[in-house]
Amino acid sequence: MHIRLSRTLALGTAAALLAVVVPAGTRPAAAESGEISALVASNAKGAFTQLIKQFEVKHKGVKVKVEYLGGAEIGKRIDNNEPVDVVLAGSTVLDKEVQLIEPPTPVLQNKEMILVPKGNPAKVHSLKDLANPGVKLSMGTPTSAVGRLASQVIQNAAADYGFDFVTNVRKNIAVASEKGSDVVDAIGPKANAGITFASDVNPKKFDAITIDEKYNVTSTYSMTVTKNAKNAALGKDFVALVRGPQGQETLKKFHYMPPPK
Amino acid sequence: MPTALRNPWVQLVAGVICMAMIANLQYGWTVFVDPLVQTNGWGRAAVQVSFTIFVVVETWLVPFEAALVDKYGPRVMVAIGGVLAGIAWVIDANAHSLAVLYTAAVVAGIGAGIVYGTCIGNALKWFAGRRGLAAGLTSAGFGAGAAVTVIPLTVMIKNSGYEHTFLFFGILQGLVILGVSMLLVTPPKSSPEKQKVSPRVLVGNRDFVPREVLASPVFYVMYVMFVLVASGGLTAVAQLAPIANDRYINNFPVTLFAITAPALTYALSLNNIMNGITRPLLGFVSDKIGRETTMFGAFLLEGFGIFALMQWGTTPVAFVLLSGLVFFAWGEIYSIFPATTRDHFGQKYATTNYGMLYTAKGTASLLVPLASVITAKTGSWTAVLAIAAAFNIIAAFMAMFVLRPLRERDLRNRGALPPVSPAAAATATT
Repeated sequence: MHIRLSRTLALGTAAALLAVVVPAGTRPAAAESGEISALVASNAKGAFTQLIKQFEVKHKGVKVKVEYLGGAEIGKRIDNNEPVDVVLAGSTVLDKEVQLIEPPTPVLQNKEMILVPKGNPAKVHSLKDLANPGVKLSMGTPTSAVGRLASQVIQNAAADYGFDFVTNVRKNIAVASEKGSDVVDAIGPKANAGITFASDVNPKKFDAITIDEKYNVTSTYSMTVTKNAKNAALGKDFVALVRGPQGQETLKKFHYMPPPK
Repeated sequence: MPTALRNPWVQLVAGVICMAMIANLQYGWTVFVDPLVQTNGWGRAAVQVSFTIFVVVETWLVPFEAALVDKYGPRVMVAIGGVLAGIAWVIDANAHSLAVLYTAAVVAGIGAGIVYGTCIGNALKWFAGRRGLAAGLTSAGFGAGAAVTVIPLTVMIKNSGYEHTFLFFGILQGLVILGVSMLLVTPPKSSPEKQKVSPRVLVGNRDFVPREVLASPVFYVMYVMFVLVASGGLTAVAQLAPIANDRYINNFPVTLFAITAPALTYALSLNNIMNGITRPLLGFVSDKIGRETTMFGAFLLEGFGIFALMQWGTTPVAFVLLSGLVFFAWGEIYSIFPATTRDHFGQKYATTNYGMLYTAKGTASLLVPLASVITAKTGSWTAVLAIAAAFNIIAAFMAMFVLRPLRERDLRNRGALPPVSPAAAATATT
């Protein structure tokens, strides 16, 4: 009797220790079921399509119901206190929602980059060249994440190049799009240069021109669960997966930078 | 009744204090929104419905509350308004359902409306030669109060929770208004201020009852002008961020008057400062050069300012300076229109009569969402700003060429102005 009790205690202790030691994101697939809701910044659609598949493999029976949205819409949905299980958004969005979400976990960083069609017909070699006559620029609108950051880059550069730089770049804007993917799609058919996210780089279609660190803006994207999430535990598991080695490897393939340390 | 209280300046200071004490109900609300959302699990939009209810009740009930003020005097009404304003925040402190929160908003709207309407009305009745200045200082007090208390509110919410803050400030504000209301005295039948009215200010010679005011074309001309200028100003303010963003100047650092800030932040800060300065300043100017002349200059300046912001506000410095001009030239409606109402329609029902005109602010705010529709349809804020500029220019010309002649004719018919001599009439027609 005494021996059996000790064995049961030992097994229980071992199981409890295992649960603590093994990180949530690397736990083997368990028989789970249900659905978690996710709001994901639209510019991360490519990477998150893969990350969601990886999560669903790890959590057999669990489906991720995802919506890819702009930052403003994600903020609005959190404002409305919707019980969202997991969110990926830029820090400018999540910083306004601290009362309604758990502390965010940074998972990736992104930067702006200049893309030109192969052959570089407008001879753009630096940020300064975007003000040259003949450049037809594809940009995000100021209300989009990609456009807001591009605007900041241009304003930063104007500190050295003078305010005429802003005026001339604005004159060269040929296409202004709300979505990052539309900014990229216009480069070639309608524009001979574009300012986009570094994660949009596609060496087969475009040449990429880096923007001087002095002017560039790094945006940090974080994940979190809302305070009234229905499946907070699963939401946190998804955050752990993206932040973990497997998630970071996937994000790297899509040209994202790792989160700040 | 101590004689010292029967002094226009004592009455003015008491009014400004009361106005400052209701300021938090409007301007301090924003700091409570997130704690209410977090604690009670309501959506932010649902909580903000409470603010909309407050503004609607505060604006649209003023004529009815003002009628009671004209009947029972300022002391009892401001005391009731203060108690209601205090009770509203006590209810907010204990609100755990949206229905209770909305009820508190109705109570707050009634209380604030009573205090606002009474204090403006009292300033109009106690002052004659400086009526515009008095109305301007009183309405400026409404904004100034929140500037002083917003930091203590924020700190207390953080340290003691929003419920305690609602309770503490609700009781404090209510008690201060209740105490100061005891200083308020029903004004004499004619304005007791010694300062003589400038001959350039047209003043009537009898008291209009509200029914007569509603039958007067002068009232409707002023109502239309108020709506035109208020909606134009509110629209221009709402478009400021989109303009700065579209022009890539929102974050561009601007140094002016030894202060450096991003252009949009600078412009928005100027909004509060200029809007506060212009009320007493242009109210004072209107006391000297006449109401319509001041309106003409201010509204024309506003129209020009909005047009200039569209055309030339493309550099950060020009953007900040021109937005400052826009803000400067529209805040004075809250001092000149009340003063004109009292000038034309008399002393006895001045509070009610201005209360009826004040609903134009509510009408204007209903027009502002149309700007979003036009912006969405045209894909740009240019059309909206052009309309806002046109509204102001129309209002400016209405002041000189519709309102002024209409008032002169009305006052002549009433015998408040000498009849036009045949020689002068002949000169005018040649």
